[in-house]
Amino acid sequence: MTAQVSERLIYAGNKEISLFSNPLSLFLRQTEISFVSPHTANWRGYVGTWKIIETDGVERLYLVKLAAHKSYEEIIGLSDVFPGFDKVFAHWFTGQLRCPQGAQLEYVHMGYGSTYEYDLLMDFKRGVLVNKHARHNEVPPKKEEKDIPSFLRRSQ
Amino acid sequence: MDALLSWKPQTWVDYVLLYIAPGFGMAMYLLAKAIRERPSEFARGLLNVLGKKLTLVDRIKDGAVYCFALACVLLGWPGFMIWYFMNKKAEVARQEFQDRPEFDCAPEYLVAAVNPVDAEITSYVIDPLGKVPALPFGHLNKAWGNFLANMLDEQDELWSFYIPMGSKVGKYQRMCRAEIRGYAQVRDGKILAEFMTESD
Repeated sequence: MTAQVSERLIYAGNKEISLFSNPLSLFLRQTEISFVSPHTANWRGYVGTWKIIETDGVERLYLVKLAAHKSYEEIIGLSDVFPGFDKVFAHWFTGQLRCPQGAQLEYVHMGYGSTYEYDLLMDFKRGVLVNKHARHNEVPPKKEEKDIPSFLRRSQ
Repeated sequence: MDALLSWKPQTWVDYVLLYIAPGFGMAMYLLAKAIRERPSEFARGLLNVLGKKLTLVDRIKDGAVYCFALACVLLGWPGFMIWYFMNKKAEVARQEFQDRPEFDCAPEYLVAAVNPVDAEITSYVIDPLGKVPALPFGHLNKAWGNFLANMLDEQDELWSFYIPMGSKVGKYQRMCRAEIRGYAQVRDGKILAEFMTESD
């Protein structure tokens, strides 16, 4: 599996950062909407841009832009999936958002598996930001030959 | 026919023949199955193209293996019979597992039976920017409607469920990274469908 193109998050002003989480997945699963994968780096078939907007001291998660492949050629937007809305409050989202920051320490050719210097972690409850913290990552220890299953080793 | 029915084993050869008769039937069945499942003309053509055409030596080897297997089945048919039924049973269990619907909710996560009207009353989402439809379950309203539409049987009950973070969920028992809440369609204690309102 190829490393996947990330979602985007507009946070702290207008800074756009990578988001290694898919907050739209529950909505798509429940509404049985699926998109077409345009290439191996985007199996989910869409890229969403999210924004955390503060209102009355409460920070909420909104989907502000969507580029989804209805077919290989046809790309649809937010108003096609959510008619009549220019922003969508992600009230279904309870969980953690992970935003990688800093230099890439290790590249993993799968999903969101790569490791970066820091991860900005944000916990949400029904779309409302309840906690945030940063995690400092170390360079993962190199795997030795003996840690790899025998059938995957280069020399048997 | 009468002669066959009145036949009784007398010598040890008769007893051996009597013992291997079911084994012979079983061997014939397995042989027919192997012939039926042999590579198709197309697959054989592909093997030829790949330079993996069966040589005479390969055919002799195959023949020897079949003869040895036949002898094993003739003599050890009770063991093969047991193996065959165990294998069939395991195959049925595997198929049942594959056919099982992929729900995160399990009976241990059910909280309480609820009325759909009560569930809707508590489901409205408040958003100061007004970016949620004023409908039960907000943007998930259509999914909720579809979920309710399938609850046609009088025996169906609506239950709320809650899955704590870190629980093992689904057919493949993956660990959930966040708590999950929602409603389940339950009939005779069995979960038939689920509607998630909250998850990551």
